[in-house]
Parts: sequence; structure tokens; C-alpha cells
Amino acid sequence: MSAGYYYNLTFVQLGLEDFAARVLSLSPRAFALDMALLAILTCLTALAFGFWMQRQDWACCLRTKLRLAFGVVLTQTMLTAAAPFVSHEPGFLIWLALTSLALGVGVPVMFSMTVDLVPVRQRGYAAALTTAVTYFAAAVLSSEWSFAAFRCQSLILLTAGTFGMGILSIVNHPWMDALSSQHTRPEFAIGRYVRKKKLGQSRMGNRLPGLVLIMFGIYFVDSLGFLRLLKTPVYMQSAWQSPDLDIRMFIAGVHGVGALVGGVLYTALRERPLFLWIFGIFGLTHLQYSFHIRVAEGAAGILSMPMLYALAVSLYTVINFALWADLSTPQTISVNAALGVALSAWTATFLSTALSILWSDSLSLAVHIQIVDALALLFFLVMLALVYFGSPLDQNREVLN
Amino acid sequence: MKDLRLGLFLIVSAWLLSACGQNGLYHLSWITGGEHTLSGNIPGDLVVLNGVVSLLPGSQVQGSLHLLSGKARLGGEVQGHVSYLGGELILEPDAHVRGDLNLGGGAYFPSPAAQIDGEVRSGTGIGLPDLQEQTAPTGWERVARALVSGVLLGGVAVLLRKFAPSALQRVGDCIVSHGLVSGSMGLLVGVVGLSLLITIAYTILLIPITLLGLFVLGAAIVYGWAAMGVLLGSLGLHLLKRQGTPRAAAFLGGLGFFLLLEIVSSLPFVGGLIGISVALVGLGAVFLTRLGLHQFVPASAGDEHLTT
Repeated sequence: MSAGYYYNLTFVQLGLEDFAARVLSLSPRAFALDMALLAILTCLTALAFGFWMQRQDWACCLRTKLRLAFGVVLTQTMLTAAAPFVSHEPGFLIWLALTSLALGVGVPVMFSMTVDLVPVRQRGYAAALTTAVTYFAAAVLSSEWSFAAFRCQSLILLTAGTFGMGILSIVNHPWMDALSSQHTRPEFAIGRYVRKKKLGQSRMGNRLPGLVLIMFGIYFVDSLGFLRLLKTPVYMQSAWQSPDLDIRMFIAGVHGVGALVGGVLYTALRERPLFLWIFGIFGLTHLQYSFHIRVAEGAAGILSMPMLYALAVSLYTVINFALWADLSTPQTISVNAALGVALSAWTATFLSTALSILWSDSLSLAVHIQIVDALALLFFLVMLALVYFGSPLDQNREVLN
Repeated sequence: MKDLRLGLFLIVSAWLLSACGQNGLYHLSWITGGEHTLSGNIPGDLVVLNGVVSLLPGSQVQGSLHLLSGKARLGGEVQGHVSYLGGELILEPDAHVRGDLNLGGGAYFPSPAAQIDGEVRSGTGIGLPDLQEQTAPTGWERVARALVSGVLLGGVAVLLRKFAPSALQRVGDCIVSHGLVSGSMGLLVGVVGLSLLITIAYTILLIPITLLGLFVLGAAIVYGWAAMGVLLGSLGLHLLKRQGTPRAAAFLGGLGFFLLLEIVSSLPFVGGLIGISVALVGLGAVFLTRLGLHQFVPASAGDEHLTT
């Protein structure tokens, strides 16, 4: 999971933009449209494949999922290796379409393995570990944010992943049989929010769209702000792309600690107060950027700004890794993961990436960050109202606790 | 009673607002962006955060001018000081600064005909008040300070034990049963809270809110320490198999806890980290129990089906 997320975070989200601009000489507008296409196609593929997995009952068979995962990782390895041979936009579109198909299949397959491998009580900690490893590596290893550097790192990870998945998908060992049957045990099978359905029959149906919407908001706010900051060298050179290893290590450490805090609090608090914290931190960090742009434009950024950003990103990534499985059973996880990850994370990230690229030409940095800040604070206020007023079911749950 | 409170609120609000009026005790004008041409008398201080400001000849700023960023073109009179930290400052021939001119970074274009009554200071030339050099406390001074602080913490523990025993108990329970969760929450509250308070201080006007917030954060940490002191006192009595009054146990626990914390915090390499961690666990427990008013029950306690 960690390797896959690292690949998406670095190669797909950051590396492709560099590739399109420097190698293909695509305009920001053209690239934005291409990325929106990638997002929509990935989302549709994930949804279609998630439903298909449910119909075929593949989500309950670990061996099938491992074989599918092997196919996905192998395809991604070949596509990543072949990327430099793409020399014009039509070829790039075909390449993107194939990548979308691989990613779309990968989302429900990879996330549905959670019900086989991670017991419900440990999901927060497992998500924390995955997030901490991913972001720590991304912050420390990625000083040069270029297509070539990301491709090289991704190929190493993907090759190792292909090899590992290949072995796991063919190995026949009692240990694998034990893993394959774990999804039938209640401590693996029944997500922590599923039991609540029996208390309020219609609640489950309302809960998933609401969470998809909130996670969409989080990813949208994050990418909309970050992609613009990415275009502002003074903020990147003093933080994520700093030549000073100490600064990158500090951000990596914040990511790690933030992820562990997220894992502990996800397990102890449920998701709603954490959402409140995340939107609050996003609001605060963008406010700090706004202040800095107005008062000291051009000066090196203050380290507290990327620190808060890293903290918020780690917190929500932990939730994203654990939440969809906790809303599911082995029968429903492929669809829920597809809805959750593809509809909220992928679509929001790439739509906001596209919007950010478009706004880079038409809006000043100050206005752009101000809009992102306003969005974050709007979500914060909505979450505050939800936490404050609560729903009857939450009160019921409090009594149960 | 409700009317009295409303009346008091209105009186205090009106009193505070009266200080902000044009003819009140203090007046401040902010410019955060755009182009502004000022003429006539401008009451109070003028702070330029960004944008372009032109003070026309014959006009007057009755207070001081602080230029943080942006551009200021002075053609009129400034009765106070002009302090310039960044951006661009232009003194035209008709400019007249009655106070000092303090120059920071950025670009400065004075006209030879511009008049400055006070001193012109730049860079390190800006006078700072003489502060007495602080020396590290000697061993005995540290012991004395730790003892006094420990006695104060013991006193706080006794007061809390007397007036809010249940609240103190809930905070203590949270620390003992959910130390990791308390520490995580404390870290979040500490980091985000401090960042928020520092950001608020940037507005200058809201510095009192920052000070109040810092006081609240500090008080919450002391509250957490007091809860830990009471726990230590109870544990000490239990281990020594002695009977003692709860207040005596709270006092001795608070004192002992603080002395122990001082000793541990002075350890090389890990001491500071342990001290911060203890403070964060206490802060988190106070936050999770909402100042001890509610029992903290983790969400996972309701997931009883997961253990089957």
C-alpha cells in the first residue's frame, strides 16, 4: 500500500506534470484537461470494477485479489518504463487511458485486501504506519521533483512489488490458507461502523455519501492549495524542496508523527472530530500563507506553514486508508473502496489539480490561497455544526459506549 | 439577573469601543492593499501592510507611520515616528517627520529637501533597551526554584482536590487509562494551538487574545500536572501503606511530582523530551475530558463485537 501510494503521490501527481511541460511541451491548460480525463476515467473504472468484483464475489477471495494486484502492478511497471517513449499528446492520452485502467482496477483490489490482512482494531495503526512510511520517504528522498527522478524511484518500487505480488499470487502454503480465511472472522470482517447499521437501519446509507463528500472536500482543498504553492519556488525551496536535508527531515518527521497521532486518535475518537481538526489545520495553514504573502511576499517561508500542512495531510491520509474498510464487510468493501477512494480522493485530487493549473494563469497567488482558505474554513464550520449538534444515532452511540 | 448581566456586558462593550473611536484613546488605520491617496488630518497611527499609500503635501498623520510592506510616498507631515521594515519608502521634498526615522530592509528614496526632526536610525543603529544579562541559575538556585514551584503545584493540587475532586479524578483516570491517546491529543492541541495563537498575534490588535490563549494553555498543563501529582500522592501512600488525608497526599504528590519532573527533565538528551511528553499527556487529558467535566470514553469501547 505504501509503495502504491508513493507511486501515485510522486510519479502520477507530480512527475507527469513535469513530463508534460518539459518533454511534450503541453500548455498548462491542455495538461489540466488531460489530468481531468485521467481522474474521470480512473474513477469510472474503479466503480465498474468494484461492482464487478462484488458480483463475482472476488472481494472474498484473497488469492484472486493477489493475482489481480499482480496484474495491476505489472501493467503499471510496464507503463512507467514505457513513459519516456511517449513523444506527442495523442500518445500521452493513450498512455494516460491505460494508466487510468490499471489504477482504477488497483483501487478496489488493493483496498479490499484490508479485510483479509488487518483486524478492525488495528486498522488505525496500520493506516498510520503506511502513511508515515510513504510521506517520510516522499519528504526525505524527493529533493528533485522531476519526471526522471520519480520514474527511477517508482520503477525500483514497482519492480520489487511485481516480484513480491507474483510470488504471493502463486505460492501455496498453509500460511497463505490461514490468511485467506481471516475475512470470515468477525474481528476482520465487520468494520467498526457496520454494526451501527443494525441500530439505525437507514443510517449506513446516509453515512457513506456524507463521508465521500467530506473526503472529497479534504482532497480538493489540499490539492487546490498545494499545487499552487508548488508553483511558488520560495515556498518550495524553503520546505519540501529545500536543499537543506535538515528541513526535509523535519517535514518528514512531522509527517511521521502526524500519521501516528492520526492512527491513535482515529482508533480512540472516531472520524468526525478528526475531520474538524483537519479542516481547522488546513484553514490555519492557508491563513498563515495568506499573511505571509501579504506581509512578506518574496521572503523565505516560515517552517510552521509546511509543518501544519504536513500534519493535516498525514491525518487525513490515515483516515482515508482505514475508513472505507471500516464501513464495509468483505462483501461490500470493493464497492465502498471504489466509491470512497476513486470518487473522493482521485476525482477531487485531479479535478482540483486541473483547476489549480488553470487558476495559476488567471489568479494571483494571494487570491488563490484566500479562496482555498475560505473553502477550508467553510468545511470547518460545517463540521463544527455537525459535531456540535450531532445526530440522534451519535447520541445513541454515546450511550452504548 | 439576566438583565443585569446584559447591562454589564453592554457597558463594558461600550467602554472598550469608546477607546477605539476617532476621538477616543487610541486610533489606528490599517492599509492591507490597493492604492490610497491620503489628504487632511489622519488621526492616530497608520500601519501599511501592503499596497500603495501617498500622503499629499499639506496633509498630516497625527501618530506614527509603520510600513511593513508595500509602498509609501510621503509628501506631508508625520507627527510621530516613521518605522520602515520592508517595501519602498519615498520621502518627497515636502515630507516632514517630526519623530525618528527607523529604517529596516527594502528600498529608501529620500529627497534632500525632506525634513526629519528626530534621529535617523538604520540596521543595528536602532536603539534597544538595555537588558540585564541573564545568567544560568546555580545549583542551589535551581533547587530553590524547583521547591517553590513544587510547593505552588502542591497548593494547586490541594485546591483542585478540595473544590473539584471529581474533575481531577476524571483527568487522572484519562492519564492512567489512555496515556497514548492523551499524549496524541496533547501534541495536536499544543502544536496547532501555539500556531494559532502566534498567527493571531500577527494582527497586533489581537495580541491580548494570544496572551489569554497562552495563559489558558499553560493553565491546562498545570491542571494536568496537578492531576498527575494527585495520582503520585495516592500511589505513594498506597506503596508506603500509610493512611493520610487526601489533601496532604495531594500536596505531597504535587510537590514530589514537580521535583521528580525537574530531575528527569535535567537528564541529558532525553530529559527535555520526557518533560514535554509529560506536559502533553496532561494537556491532552484535560482536553479530552473537557477540563475534567466529562469522563473520556474511547470510541473503540463501543466496538464490543470486535473482540468476539
